[in-house]
Amino acid sequence: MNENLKDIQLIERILAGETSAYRALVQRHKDFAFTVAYRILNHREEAEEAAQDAFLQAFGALKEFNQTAKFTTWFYRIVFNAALGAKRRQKPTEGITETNALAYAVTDTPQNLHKKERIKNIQQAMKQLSADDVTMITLFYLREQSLEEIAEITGISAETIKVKLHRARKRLADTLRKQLGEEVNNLY
Amino acid sequence: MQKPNDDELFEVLDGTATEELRQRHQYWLKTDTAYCEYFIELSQLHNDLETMHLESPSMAFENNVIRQWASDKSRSTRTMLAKWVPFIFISMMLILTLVGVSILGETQSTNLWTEQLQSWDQTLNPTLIQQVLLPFNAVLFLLIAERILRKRLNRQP
Repeated sequence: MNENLKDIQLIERILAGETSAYRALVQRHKDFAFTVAYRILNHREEAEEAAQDAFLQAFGALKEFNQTAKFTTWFYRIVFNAALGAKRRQKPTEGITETNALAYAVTDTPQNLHKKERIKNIQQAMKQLSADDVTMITLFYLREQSLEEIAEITGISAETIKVKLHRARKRLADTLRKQLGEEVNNLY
Repeated sequence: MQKPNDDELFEVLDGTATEELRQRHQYWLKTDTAYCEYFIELSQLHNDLETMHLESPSMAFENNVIRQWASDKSRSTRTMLAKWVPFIFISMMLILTLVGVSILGETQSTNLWTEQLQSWDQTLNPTLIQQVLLPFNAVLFLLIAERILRKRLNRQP
C-alpha cells in the first residue's frame, strides 16, 4: 500500500477517536524525526526532546492537516522547525563532545569494517557542518525526498535547495578530506 | 572541452545530467587521472550517504510521546472547562432570573404552563428564598471571585 495512504488512514483513525493510532503514527516516523533532530542538534537527549515536541505539535494540528497533501512533507517541516528552534536555544558548548559509537561486531568482514569506519568519519564530518547543510543532506539522502519536497519542508525554493545541496556535499567532502588528512598526520 | 565543475559532478551522481554533460564527464574521466580520483571520492561519499541508516531514539521514546500527549490533552480540556465555568454560571443565573421574573411577574397569561408555574409560586415561601438562595448565590459569587483573584496573583512574578 502507498506509504502516504497508510499515514492518511492512521490520521483518519485518530480523528475518529482511536487512540492506538497515535502510537502507530509515532512508530512509523520516530526514527526519521529523531535522525533529523539528532543530525541538527548533535545531542541525543535534546534530539529526543525536539522529536517529541514535533510529534506533540503534529498531533495538536492534525485536524488542520490537508489530507490531500503528503503527510511526511508536512510532518518533516514540523520536525525541522522544532529542531532548529532547539538549536537556537542550545548552548554553544553542547553536543560537540558526543560521539556516535558504531558497534563493531566480531564477525564483521574487513569490507564491512572499512565501510563502518567511513560512515563514522562522515558522521564526524557532518557534526562540523552548519544545521542548514546537515538538513539538506539528511533530507535528500535518508528518505530520498525530492528537491520540491525539501523545498516545501524548509520553505526555500527548489532551485535554491539544489544549489545549497551541492554546496553542502562539497563542504562535507572537503571536511572529510581535511579530517582524514589530520588522522594520517597524527599517525606519523 | 570544458571540465565539469562540482555542481555538474553532483548532477552526474544524482542522475540528472544532460547527455552533453555525460559525454564531457566521460571524456575527462578517461583523460585526467586527478579528475577521475576526485570523481571516485565524491562518488564514494554519495554511495555512503545513500546507505547511511536512520538513527533510533531510546526505547522509552514512544511511551514518552504518548504519555506527554495524554497529559497535554487532559490539561487543555481542564483549562477549557475552567474558562467556561464563569460563563456557564452567569448564563444559569440569567436563566434563573428570567424564569423567576416570568413566575413572579404580575403579567396575566392564559398559558397553561404559566398558570401551573404561578400555582407553584404560591406555594413558595419568599422568606425561604431570601434565607437560602441569596446566601447560596453570594457564596458562589465569592468562590468565583476567589478563583479569579488567585489566578491573577499566581501569574504575578
